[in-house]
Amino acid sequence: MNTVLKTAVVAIAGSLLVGQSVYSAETYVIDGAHTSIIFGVSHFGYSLTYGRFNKAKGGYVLDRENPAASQFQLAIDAASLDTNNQKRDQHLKSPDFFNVKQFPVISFQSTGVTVEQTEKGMVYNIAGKLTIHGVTRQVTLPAQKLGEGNGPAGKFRTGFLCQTSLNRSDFGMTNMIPMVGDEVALTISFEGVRQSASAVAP
Amino acid sequence: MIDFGDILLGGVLPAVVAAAAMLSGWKLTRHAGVAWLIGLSVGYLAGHWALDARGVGFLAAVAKSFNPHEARDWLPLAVVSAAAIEAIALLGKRGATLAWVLRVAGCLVLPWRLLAGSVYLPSMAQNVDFDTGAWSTLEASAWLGGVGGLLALVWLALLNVPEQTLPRLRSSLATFVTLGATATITLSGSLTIGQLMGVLTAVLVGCGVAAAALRLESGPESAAGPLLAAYGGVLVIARFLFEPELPLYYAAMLLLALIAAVGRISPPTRLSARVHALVRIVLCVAALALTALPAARDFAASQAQSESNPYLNFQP
Repeated sequence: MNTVLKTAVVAIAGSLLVGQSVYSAETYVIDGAHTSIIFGVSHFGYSLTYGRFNKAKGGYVLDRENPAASQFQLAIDAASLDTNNQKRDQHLKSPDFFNVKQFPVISFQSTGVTVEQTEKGMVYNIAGKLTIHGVTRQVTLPAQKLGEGNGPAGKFRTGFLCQTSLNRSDFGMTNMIPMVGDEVALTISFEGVRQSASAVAP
Repeated sequence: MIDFGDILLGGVLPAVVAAAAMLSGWKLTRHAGVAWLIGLSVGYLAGHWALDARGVGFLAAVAKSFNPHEARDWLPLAVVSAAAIEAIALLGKRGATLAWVLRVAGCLVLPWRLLAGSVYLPSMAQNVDFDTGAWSTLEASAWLGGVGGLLALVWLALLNVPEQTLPRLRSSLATFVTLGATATITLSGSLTIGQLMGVLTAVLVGCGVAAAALRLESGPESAAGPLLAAYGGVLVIARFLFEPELPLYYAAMLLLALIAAVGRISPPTRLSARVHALVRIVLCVAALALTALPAARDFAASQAQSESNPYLNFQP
Protein backbone atom coordinates (compact mmCIF):
# COMPACT_ATOMS: atom_id res chain seq x y z
CA MET A 1 0.00 0.00 0.00
CA ASN A 2 1.46 3.31 -0.96
CA THR A 3 2.10 6.24 1.36
CA VAL A 4 -0.90 8.28 0.30
CA LEU A 5 -3.27 5.41 0.95
CA LYS A 6 -1.59 4.60 4.23
CA THR A 7 -1.99 8.21 5.31
CA ALA A 8 -5.62 8.19 4.28
CA VAL A 9 -6.24 5.03 6.27
CA VAL A 10 -4.48 6.47 9.30
CA ALA A 11 -6.55 9.64 8.98
CA ILE A 12 -9.73 7.63 8.94
CA ALA A 13 -8.64 5.49 11.82
CA GLY A 14 -7.84 8.68 13.70
CA SER A 15 -11.27 10.12 13.11
CA LEU A 16 -12.81 6.84 14.28
CA LEU A 17 -10.85 7.06 17.48
CA VAL A 18 -11.85 10.67 18.04
CA GLY A 19 -15.40 9.56 17.70
CA GLN A 20 -16.85 12.44 15.74
CA SER A 21 -18.66 11.68 12.51
CA VAL A 22 -17.73 8.06 12.79
CA TYR A 23 -20.61 6.84 10.73
CA SER A 24 -20.82 9.66 8.17
CA ALA A 25 -17.21 9.63 6.94
CA GLU A 26 -16.54 7.82 3.70
CA THR A 27 -13.10 6.99 2.38
CA TYR A 28 -12.33 7.23 -1.30
CA VAL A 29 -9.30 6.22 -3.29
CA ILE A 30 -8.66 8.31 -6.37
CA ASP A 31 -9.19 6.45 -9.62
CA GLY A 32 -6.19 7.34 -11.74
CA ALA A 33 -7.94 6.25 -14.92
CA HIS A 34 -10.58 8.92 -14.40
CA THR A 35 -8.41 11.68 -13.08
CA SER A 36 -7.02 14.48 -15.23
CA ILE A 37 -4.52 17.11 -14.16
CA ILE A 38 -4.12 19.76 -16.81
CA PHE A 39 -2.19 23.00 -16.79
CA GLY A 40 -1.99 25.87 -19.23
CA VAL A 41 0.59 28.61 -19.44
CA SER A 42 1.07 31.61 -21.69
CA HIS A 43 3.66 31.43 -24.46
CA PHE A 44 4.88 35.00 -25.08
CA GLY A 45 1.31 36.11 -24.52
CA TYR A 46 0.44 34.73 -27.97
CA SER A 47 -1.23 31.52 -26.92
CA LEU A 48 -1.74 29.12 -24.05
CA THR A 49 0.26 25.92 -24.12
CA TYR A 50 -1.40 23.06 -22.29
CA GLY A 51 0.13 20.07 -20.62
CA ARG A 52 -0.89 17.38 -18.21
CA PHE A 53 0.45 15.06 -15.56
CA ASN A 54 -0.27 11.47 -16.41
CA LYS A 55 0.28 9.81 -13.02
CA ALA A 56 -1.42 10.71 -9.78
CA LYS A 57 -2.44 8.93 -6.63
CA GLY A 58 -4.43 9.97 -3.63
CA GLY A 59 -7.50 9.65 -1.54
CA TYR A 60 -10.08 11.62 0.30
CA VAL A 61 -12.51 11.38 3.13
CA LEU A 62 -15.96 12.84 2.71
CA ASP A 63 -17.91 13.57 5.83
CA ARG A 64 -21.46 14.25 4.77
CA GLU A 65 -22.71 15.32 8.22
CA ASN A 66 -19.72 17.48 8.97
CA PRO A 67 -18.14 18.50 5.64
CA ALA A 68 -15.49 20.54 7.44
CA ALA A 69 -14.02 17.25 8.66
CA SER A 70 -13.44 16.06 5.11
CA GLN A 71 -9.88 15.53 3.98
CA PHE A 72 -8.15 15.43 0.61
CA GLN A 73 -4.73 14.19 -0.43
CA LEU A 74 -3.12 14.09 -3.84
CA ALA A 75 0.34 13.09 -5.04
CA ILE A 76 1.39 13.71 -8.63
CA ASP A 77 4.38 12.16 -10.34
CA ALA A 78 6.19 15.26 -11.62
CA ALA A 79 8.08 13.18 -14.16
CA SER A 80 4.80 12.19 -15.82
CA LEU A 81 4.55 15.72 -17.25
CA ASP A 82 3.40 15.67 -20.86
CA THR A 83 2.97 18.62 -23.23
CA ASN A 84 3.03 16.59 -26.44
CA ASN A 85 6.56 17.74 -27.27
CA GLN A 86 9.47 15.65 -26.05
CA LYS A 87 12.08 18.40 -26.06
CA ARG A 88 9.82 20.81 -24.18
CA ASP A 89 8.93 18.07 -21.69
CA GLN A 90 12.62 17.43 -21.04
CA HIS A 91 13.23 21.12 -20.50
CA LEU A 92 10.26 21.43 -18.15
CA LYS A 93 11.56 18.45 -16.15
CA SER A 94 15.06 19.94 -15.94
CA PRO A 95 16.44 22.16 -13.15
CA ASP A 96 15.21 25.15 -15.18
CA PHE A 97 11.64 24.39 -14.13
CA PHE A 98 10.26 21.43 -12.14
CA ASN A 99 13.64 19.78 -11.45
CA VAL A 100 11.86 16.44 -11.26
CA LYS A 101 14.92 14.39 -10.31
CA GLN A 102 15.27 16.46 -7.17
CA PHE A 103 11.57 17.11 -6.54
CA PRO A 104 9.78 14.06 -7.94
CA VAL A 105 6.41 14.59 -6.30
CA ILE A 106 3.87 17.39 -6.42
CA SER A 107 1.63 16.97 -3.42
CA PHE A 108 -1.43 18.43 -1.82
CA GLN A 109 -2.58 17.82 1.74
CA SER A 110 -5.75 19.48 2.93
CA THR A 111 -5.84 21.33 6.22
CA GLY A 112 -9.45 22.45 6.25
CA VAL A 113 -12.58 22.28 4.17
CA THR A 114 -15.58 24.56 3.88
CA VAL A 115 -18.57 23.78 1.75
CA GLU A 116 -20.92 26.14 -0.02
CA GLN A 117 -23.94 25.61 -2.16
CA THR A 118 -23.66 27.52 -5.43
CA GLU A 119 -25.57 27.68 -8.68
CA LYS A 120 -23.27 24.99 -9.99
CA GLY A 121 -23.92 22.78 -7.02
CA MET A 122 -21.91 21.92 -3.95
CA VAL A 123 -18.41 23.38 -3.90
CA TYR A 124 -15.78 22.19 -1.43
CA ASN A 125 -13.26 24.94 -0.77
CA ILE A 126 -10.28 22.85 0.18
CA ALA A 127 -7.56 24.73 2.03
CA GLY A 128 -4.28 22.93 2.23
CA LYS A 129 -0.58 22.72 1.64
CA LEU A 130 0.46 22.46 -1.98
CA THR A 131 4.07 21.47 -2.60
CA ILE A 132 5.58 22.06 -6.03
CA HIS A 133 9.30 22.13 -6.80
CA GLY A 134 9.98 21.48 -3.14
CA VAL A 135 8.23 24.68 -2.05
CA THR A 136 5.11 24.43 0.08
CA ARG A 137 2.42 27.11 -0.04
CA GLN A 138 -0.98 27.37 1.58
CA VAL A 139 -3.67 27.45 -1.11
CA THR A 140 -7.40 27.00 -1.37
CA LEU A 141 -8.70 24.82 -4.17
CA PRO A 142 -12.38 25.15 -5.10
CA ALA A 143 -13.63 21.66 -5.94
CA GLN A 144 -17.07 21.44 -7.42
CA LYS A 145 -18.78 18.14 -6.76
CA LEU A 146 -19.91 16.98 -10.18
CA GLY A 147 -21.75 13.81 -9.35
CA GLU A 148 -21.90 10.52 -7.54
CA GLY A 149 -23.30 7.07 -7.99
CA ASN A 150 -22.39 3.50 -8.74
CA GLY A 151 -19.79 2.80 -11.39
CA PRO A 152 -19.83 -0.05 -13.91
CA ALA A 153 -18.35 -2.42 -11.36
CA GLY A 154 -20.98 -1.46 -8.82
CA LYS A 155 -18.67 0.52 -6.60
CA PHE A 156 -19.86 3.89 -5.39
CA ARG A 157 -17.97 6.87 -6.77
CA THR A 158 -17.88 10.61 -6.37
CA GLY A 159 -16.31 13.08 -8.76
CA PHE A 160 -15.00 16.62 -8.47
CA LEU A 161 -13.76 19.37 -10.75
CA CYS A 162 -11.27 21.96 -9.54
CA GLN A 163 -10.33 24.94 -11.69
CA THR A 164 -7.97 27.54 -10.36
CA SER A 165 -4.74 29.34 -11.15
CA LEU A 166 -1.47 29.90 -9.35
CA ASN A 167 1.78 31.73 -9.89
CA ARG A 168 4.71 29.42 -10.53
CA SER A 169 7.08 32.04 -9.11
CA ASP A 170 5.47 31.43 -5.71
CA PHE A 171 6.97 27.96 -5.92
CA GLY A 172 10.46 29.08 -6.87
CA MET A 173 10.05 28.52 -10.61
CA THR A 174 11.07 31.89 -11.96
CA ASN A 175 12.90 30.91 -15.12
CA MET A 176 11.83 32.46 -18.45
CA ILE A 177 9.22 34.80 -17.02
CA PRO A 178 7.51 36.56 -18.82
CA MET A 179 8.18 34.67 -22.09
CA VAL A 180 6.64 31.67 -20.40
CA GLY A 181 3.88 33.07 -18.21
CA ASP A 182 4.01 33.22 -14.46
CA GLU A 183 0.31 32.49 -14.00
CA VAL A 184 -0.57 28.85 -14.57
CA ALA A 185 -4.14 27.75 -15.13
CA LEU A 186 -4.80 24.48 -13.35
CA THR A 187 -7.64 22.02 -13.84
CA ILE A 188 -7.96 18.90 -11.75
CA SER A 189 -10.83 16.55 -12.38
CA PHE A 190 -10.84 13.50 -10.18
CA GLU A 191 -13.01 10.58 -9.35
CA GLY A 192 -12.78 8.49 -6.20
CA VAL A 193 -13.98 4.99 -5.48
CA ARG A 194 -15.53 4.49 -2.04
CA GLN A 195 -13.77 1.94 0.10
CA SER A 196 -15.67 -0.51 2.23
CA ALA A 197 -15.67 0.19 5.96
CA SER A 198 -13.80 -3.03 6.59
CA ALA A 199 -10.96 -1.70 4.52
CA VAL A 200 -10.29 1.08 6.98
CA ALA A 201 -11.39 -0.17 10.35
CA PRO A 202 -11.44 -3.59 11.96
CA MET B 1 17.18 32.18 -24.18
CA ILE B 2 20.04 34.41 -23.13
CA ASP B 3 19.38 38.14 -22.99
CA PHE B 4 21.52 41.18 -22.36
CA GLY B 5 20.86 40.99 -18.61
CA ASP B 6 22.20 37.44 -18.47
CA ILE B 7 25.40 38.49 -20.23
CA LEU B 8 25.81 41.48 -17.96
CA LEU B 9 25.10 39.65 -14.68
CA GLY B 10 26.57 36.27 -15.52
CA GLY B 11 29.43 37.44 -17.75
CA VAL B 12 30.64 41.02 -17.46
CA LEU B 13 30.02 41.41 -13.74
CA PRO B 14 31.81 38.27 -12.53
CA ALA B 15 34.73 38.92 -14.91
CA VAL B 16 35.20 42.46 -13.59
CA VAL B 17 34.73 41.43 -9.96
CA ALA B 18 37.16 38.51 -10.37
CA ALA B 19 39.82 40.76 -11.89
CA ALA B 20 39.35 43.42 -9.21
CA ALA B 21 39.41 40.82 -6.43
CA MET B 22 42.54 39.24 -7.84
CA LEU B 23 44.31 42.57 -8.11
CA SER B 24 43.29 43.38 -4.54
CA GLY B 25 44.43 39.98 -3.35
CA TRP B 26 47.80 40.45 -4.97
CA LYS B 27 48.16 43.95 -3.55
CA LEU B 28 47.35 42.73 -0.05
CA THR B 29 49.39 39.51 0.03
CA ARG B 30 51.88 39.56 -2.87
CA HIS B 31 51.09 35.84 -3.14
CA ALA B 32 50.04 34.63 -6.59
CA GLY B 33 48.19 31.59 -5.24
CA VAL B 34 46.18 33.64 -2.77
CA ALA B 35 45.39 36.19 -5.49
CA TRP B 36 44.03 33.42 -7.75
CA LEU B 37 42.02 31.94 -4.87
CA ILE B 38 40.44 35.26 -3.99
CA GLY B 39 39.81 36.28 -7.59
CA LEU B 40 38.18 33.03 -8.67
CA SER B 41 36.09 32.54 -5.53
CA VAL B 42 34.85 36.11 -5.18
CA GLY B 43 34.16 36.38 -8.90
CA TYR B 44 32.16 33.16 -8.91
CA LEU B 45 30.09 34.19 -5.90
CA ALA B 46 29.36 37.56 -7.52
CA GLY B 47 28.16 35.97 -10.76
CA HIS B 48 26.17 33.19 -9.12
CA TRP B 49 24.39 35.55 -6.75
CA ALA B 50 23.82 38.18 -9.43
CA LEU B 51 22.02 35.64 -11.63
CA ASP B 52 19.97 34.41 -8.68
CA ALA B 53 19.11 37.96 -7.60
CA ARG B 54 16.86 38.63 -10.57
CA GLY B 55 13.36 39.19 -9.29
CA VAL B 56 14.20 38.48 -5.66
CA GLY B 57 17.07 40.84 -4.82
CA PHE B 58 20.72 40.33 -4.01
CA LEU B 59 20.30 39.63 -0.29
CA ALA B 60 17.69 36.97 -0.98
CA ALA B 61 20.06 35.37 -3.49
CA VAL B 62 22.87 35.34 -0.93
CA ALA B 63 20.48 33.95 1.69
CA LYS B 64 19.73 30.98 -0.60
CA SER B 65 23.33 29.88 -0.22
CA PHE B 66 22.85 29.69 3.54
CA ASN B 67 19.55 27.87 3.22
CA PRO B 68 19.97 25.84 0.02
CA HIS B 69 16.79 24.64 -1.65
CA GLU B 70 18.11 22.71 -4.64
CA ALA B 71 21.44 21.37 -5.84
CA ARG B 72 22.66 24.54 -7.57
CA ASP B 73 22.22 26.50 -4.33
CA TRP B 74 25.04 24.44 -2.78
CA LEU B 75 27.67 25.53 -5.31
CA PRO B 76 28.67 28.85 -3.65
CA LEU B 77 29.23 27.02 -0.37
CA ALA B 78 31.22 24.34 -2.22
CA VAL B 79 33.40 26.99 -3.87
CA VAL B 80 34.07 28.82 -0.59
CA SER B 81 34.81 25.55 1.23
CA ALA B 82 37.23 24.48 -1.48
CA ALA B 83 38.95 27.88 -1.34
CA ALA B 84 39.29 27.50 2.42
CA ILE B 85 40.89 24.08 1.93
CA GLU B 86 43.39 25.54 -0.54
CA ALA B 87 44.15 28.32 1.93
CA ILE B 88 44.83 25.73 4.62
CA ALA B 89 47.21 23.98 2.23
CA LEU B 90 49.33 27.14 2.18
CA LEU B 91 49.94 26.87 5.96
CA GLY B 92 53.09 24.80 5.85
CA LYS B 93 53.56 21.03 5.88
CA ARG B 94 50.86 20.27 8.44
CA GLY B 95 48.46 22.48 6.54
CA ALA B 96 49.24 20.64 3.33
CA THR B 97 48.59 17.26 4.96
CA LEU B 98 45.35 18.43 6.54
CA ALA B 99 44.29 19.96 3.24
CA TRP B 100 44.56 16.60 1.47
CA VAL B 101 42.36 14.96 4.06
CA LEU B 102 39.85 17.75 3.59
CA ARG B 103 40.10 17.56 -0.20
CA VAL B 104 39.20 13.87 -0.23
CA ALA B 105 36.41 14.44 2.29
CA GLY B 106 35.10 17.36 0.27
CA CYS B 107 35.10 15.34 -2.95
CA LEU B 108 33.11 12.59 -1.28
CA VAL B 109 30.64 15.01 0.29
CA LEU B 110 29.99 17.12 -2.81
CA PRO B 111 28.11 14.56 -4.97
CA TRP B 112 26.23 13.26 -1.95
CA ARG B 113 25.19 16.78 -0.98
CA LEU B 114 24.13 17.70 -4.52
CA LEU B 115 22.03 14.56 -4.91
CA ALA B 116 20.60 14.38 -1.39
CA GLY B 117 16.83 14.37 -1.52
CA SER B 118 16.77 13.39 -5.18
CA VAL B 119 15.16 10.32 -6.67
CA TYR B 120 18.49 8.51 -6.55
CA LEU B 121 18.79 8.39 -2.78
CA PRO B 122 15.49 7.05 -1.52
CA SER B 123 16.45 6.91 2.13
CA MET B 124 16.91 10.67 2.14
CA ALA B 125 14.22 11.52 -0.37
CA GLN B 126 10.70 12.49 0.38
CA ASN B 127 8.22 9.64 0.33
CA VAL B 128 7.86 8.76 -3.29
CA ASP B 129 4.93 6.65 -4.36
CA PHE B 130 6.04 6.39 -7.95
CA ASP B 131 8.72 4.25 -9.48
CA THR B 132 11.64 6.60 -9.95
CA GLY B 133 14.44 4.11 -10.44
CA ALA B 134 16.13 4.86 -7.13
CA TRP B 135 19.54 3.35 -6.49
CA SER B 136 20.03 0.45 -4.15
CA THR B 137 22.36 1.08 -1.22
CA LEU B 138 25.15 -0.65 -3.13
CA GLU B 139 24.54 1.37 -6.27
CA ALA B 140 24.37 4.61 -4.30
CA SER B 141 27.63 3.82 -2.53
CA ALA B 142 29.32 2.92 -5.81
CA TRP B 143 28.11 6.01 -7.66
CA LEU B 144 28.78 8.50 -4.88
CA GLY B 145 32.13 6.94 -3.99
CA GLY B 146 33.11 6.67 -7.64
CA VAL B 147 32.24 10.27 -8.46
CA GLY B 148 33.92 11.49 -5.28
CA GLY B 149 37.06 9.47 -6.00
CA LEU B 150 37.15 10.76 -9.57
CA LEU B 151 36.87 14.36 -8.40
CA ALA B 152 39.70 13.78 -5.92
CA LEU B 153 41.89 12.40 -8.72
CA VAL B 154 41.11 15.41 -10.91
CA TRP B 155 41.99 17.70 -7.99
CA LEU B 156 45.29 15.88 -7.64
CA ALA B 157 45.97 16.23 -11.37
CA LEU B 158 45.15 19.94 -11.29
CA LEU B 159 47.51 20.59 -8.40
CA ASN B 160 50.32 18.37 -9.55
CA VAL B 161 51.48 20.61 -12.35
CA PRO B 162 55.13 21.69 -12.60
CA GLU B 163 55.50 25.37 -11.86
CA GLN B 164 56.45 27.90 -14.50
CA THR B 165 54.86 25.85 -17.24
CA LEU B 166 52.94 28.14 -19.51
CA PRO B 167 50.61 29.71 -16.92
CA ARG B 168 49.05 32.12 -19.38
CA LEU B 169 48.41 29.39 -21.94
CA ARG B 170 46.87 27.16 -19.29
CA SER B 171 44.72 30.04 -18.10
CA SER B 172 43.51 30.66 -21.66
CA LEU B 173 42.87 26.97 -22.23
CA ALA B 174 40.91 26.74 -18.99
CA THR B 175 38.70 29.55 -20.27
CA PHE B 176 38.32 27.76 -23.60
CA VAL B 177 37.39 24.50 -21.88
CA THR B 178 34.81 26.09 -19.59
CA LEU B 179 33.34 27.90 -22.60
CA GLY B 180 32.98 24.57 -24.39
CA ALA B 181 31.50 23.06 -21.24
CA THR B 182 29.04 25.96 -21.05
CA ALA B 183 27.85 25.20 -24.57
CA THR B 184 27.64 21.47 -23.89
CA ILE B 185 25.71 21.87 -20.64
CA THR B 186 23.32 24.45 -22.07
CA LEU B 187 22.61 22.43 -25.19
CA SER B 188 22.20 19.25 -23.16
CA GLY B 189 19.30 20.32 -21.03
CA SER B 190 19.44 23.35 -18.78
CA LEU B 191 19.98 27.01 -19.49
CA THR B 192 20.28 28.01 -15.85
CA ILE B 193 22.89 25.38 -15.03
CA GLY B 194 24.74 26.23 -18.25
CA GLN B 195 24.80 29.84 -17.08
CA LEU B 196 26.70 28.78 -13.96
CA MET B 197 29.42 27.30 -16.16
CA GLY B 198 29.29 30.57 -18.09
CA VAL B 199 29.95 32.44 -14.85
CA LEU B 200 33.03 30.30 -14.32
CA THR B 201 34.17 31.07 -17.86
CA ALA B 202 33.79 34.81 -17.24
CA VAL B 203 35.65 34.53 -13.95
CA LEU B 204 38.55 32.76 -15.66
CA VAL B 205 38.66 35.55 -18.23
CA GLY B 206 38.82 38.17 -15.47
CA CYS B 207 41.44 36.28 -13.49
CA GLY B 208 43.45 35.51 -16.63
CA VAL B 209 43.57 39.16 -17.65
CA ALA B 210 44.53 40.25 -14.13
CA ALA B 211 47.21 37.53 -13.89
CA ALA B 212 48.65 38.59 -17.23
CA ALA B 213 48.66 42.23 -16.18
CA LEU B 214 50.46 41.30 -12.96
CA ARG B 215 52.78 38.93 -14.85
CA LEU B 216 52.06 36.17 -12.33
CA GLU B 217 53.91 32.93 -12.93
CA SER B 218 51.10 30.72 -11.74
CA GLY B 219 47.91 29.66 -13.41
CA PRO B 220 44.45 28.42 -12.45
CA GLU B 221 45.99 25.45 -10.60
CA SER B 222 46.49 27.91 -7.73
CA ALA B 223 42.71 27.95 -7.37
CA ALA B 224 42.23 24.27 -8.22
CA GLY B 225 39.78 23.72 -5.35
CA PRO B 226 37.18 26.38 -6.14
CA LEU B 227 37.68 25.77 -9.86
CA LEU B 228 36.90 22.08 -9.46
CA ALA B 229 34.02 22.71 -7.03
CA ALA B 230 32.27 24.96 -9.53
CA TYR B 231 33.16 22.90 -12.62
CA GLY B 232 32.68 19.46 -11.12
CA GLY B 233 29.55 20.53 -9.24
CA VAL B 234 27.87 21.62 -12.46
CA LEU B 235 28.88 18.37 -14.15
CA VAL B 236 27.40 16.32 -11.30
CA ILE B 237 24.13 18.27 -11.56
CA ALA B 238 24.07 17.87 -15.33
CA ARG B 239 24.92 14.18 -15.22
CA PHE B 240 22.31 13.24 -12.63
CA LEU B 241 19.58 15.89 -12.56
CA PHE B 242 19.11 16.70 -16.22
CA GLU B 243 16.33 15.05 -18.20
CA PRO B 244 17.79 13.15 -19.93
CA GLU B 245 21.03 12.95 -18.01
CA LEU B 246 24.24 14.37 -19.49
CA PRO B 247 25.91 11.31 -21.02
CA LEU B 248 28.62 9.89 -18.79
CA TYR B 249 30.99 10.07 -21.74
CA TYR B 250 30.46 13.85 -22.04
CA ALA B 251 31.10 14.38 -18.33
CA ALA B 252 34.28 12.29 -18.48
CA MET B 253 35.57 14.11 -21.56
CA LEU B 254 34.90 17.50 -19.96
CA LEU B 255 36.86 16.47 -16.87
CA LEU B 256 39.72 15.29 -19.08
CA ALA B 257 39.61 18.59 -20.96
CA LEU B 258 40.01 20.50 -17.69
CA ILE B 259 43.01 18.37 -16.75
CA ALA B 260 44.50 18.86 -20.22
CA ALA B 261 44.07 22.62 -19.89
CA VAL B 262 45.28 23.16 -16.35
CA GLY B 263 46.81 20.09 -14.76
CA ARG B 264 49.49 17.50 -15.31
CA ILE B 265 49.08 15.78 -18.64
CA SER B 266 52.06 13.42 -18.63
CA PRO B 267 54.75 11.99 -16.38
CA PRO B 268 57.61 14.43 -15.84
CA THR B 269 59.37 14.70 -19.17
CA ARG B 270 61.48 17.29 -20.85
CA LEU B 271 59.04 18.41 -23.43
CA SER B 272 59.95 21.66 -25.05
CA ALA B 273 57.60 24.51 -24.23
CA ARG B 274 56.31 24.54 -27.80
CA VAL B 275 55.52 20.80 -27.84
CA HIS B 276 54.04 21.01 -24.36
CA ALA B 277 51.74 23.82 -25.50
CA LEU B 278 50.78 21.95 -28.65
CA VAL B 279 49.91 18.80 -26.72
CA ARG B 280 47.66 20.73 -24.34
CA ILE B 281 45.91 22.58 -27.16
CA VAL B 282 45.31 19.44 -29.20
CA LEU B 283 43.96 17.55 -26.18
CA CYS B 284 41.59 20.37 -25.21
CA VAL B 285 40.31 20.89 -28.73
CA ALA B 286 39.83 17.15 -29.23
CA ALA B 287 37.97 16.69 -25.95
CA LEU B 288 35.66 19.60 -26.65
CA ALA B 289 35.10 18.54 -30.25
CA LEU B 290 33.96 15.18 -28.92
CA THR B 291 31.43 16.75 -26.56
CA ALA B 292 30.26 20.19 -27.64
CA LEU B 293 29.83 19.25 -31.29
CA PRO B 294 27.71 16.12 -30.65
CA ALA B 295 25.70 18.09 -28.09
CA ALA B 296 25.07 20.79 -30.68
CA ARG B 297 24.15 18.20 -33.29
CA ASP B 298 21.72 16.48 -30.90
CA PHE B 299 20.18 19.80 -29.95
CA ALA B 300 19.69 20.77 -33.57
CA ALA B 301 18.16 17.39 -34.31
CA SER B 302 15.76 17.65 -31.40
CA GLN B 303 14.71 21.13 -32.49
CA ALA B 304 13.98 19.83 -35.93
CA GLN B 305 11.97 16.85 -34.76
CA SER B 306 8.44 16.93 -36.00
CA GLU B 307 6.91 13.64 -35.07
CA SER B 308 5.51 14.96 -31.80
CA ASN B 309 3.48 17.61 -33.56
CA PRO B 310 0.25 15.89 -34.55
CA TYR B 311 -0.84 18.80 -36.72
CA LEU B 312 2.27 19.10 -38.85
CA ASN B 313 1.32 16.55 -41.48
CA PHE B 314 -2.33 17.44 -41.48
CA GLN B 315 -3.83 17.32 -44.97
CA PRO B 316 -7.18 19.09 -45.22
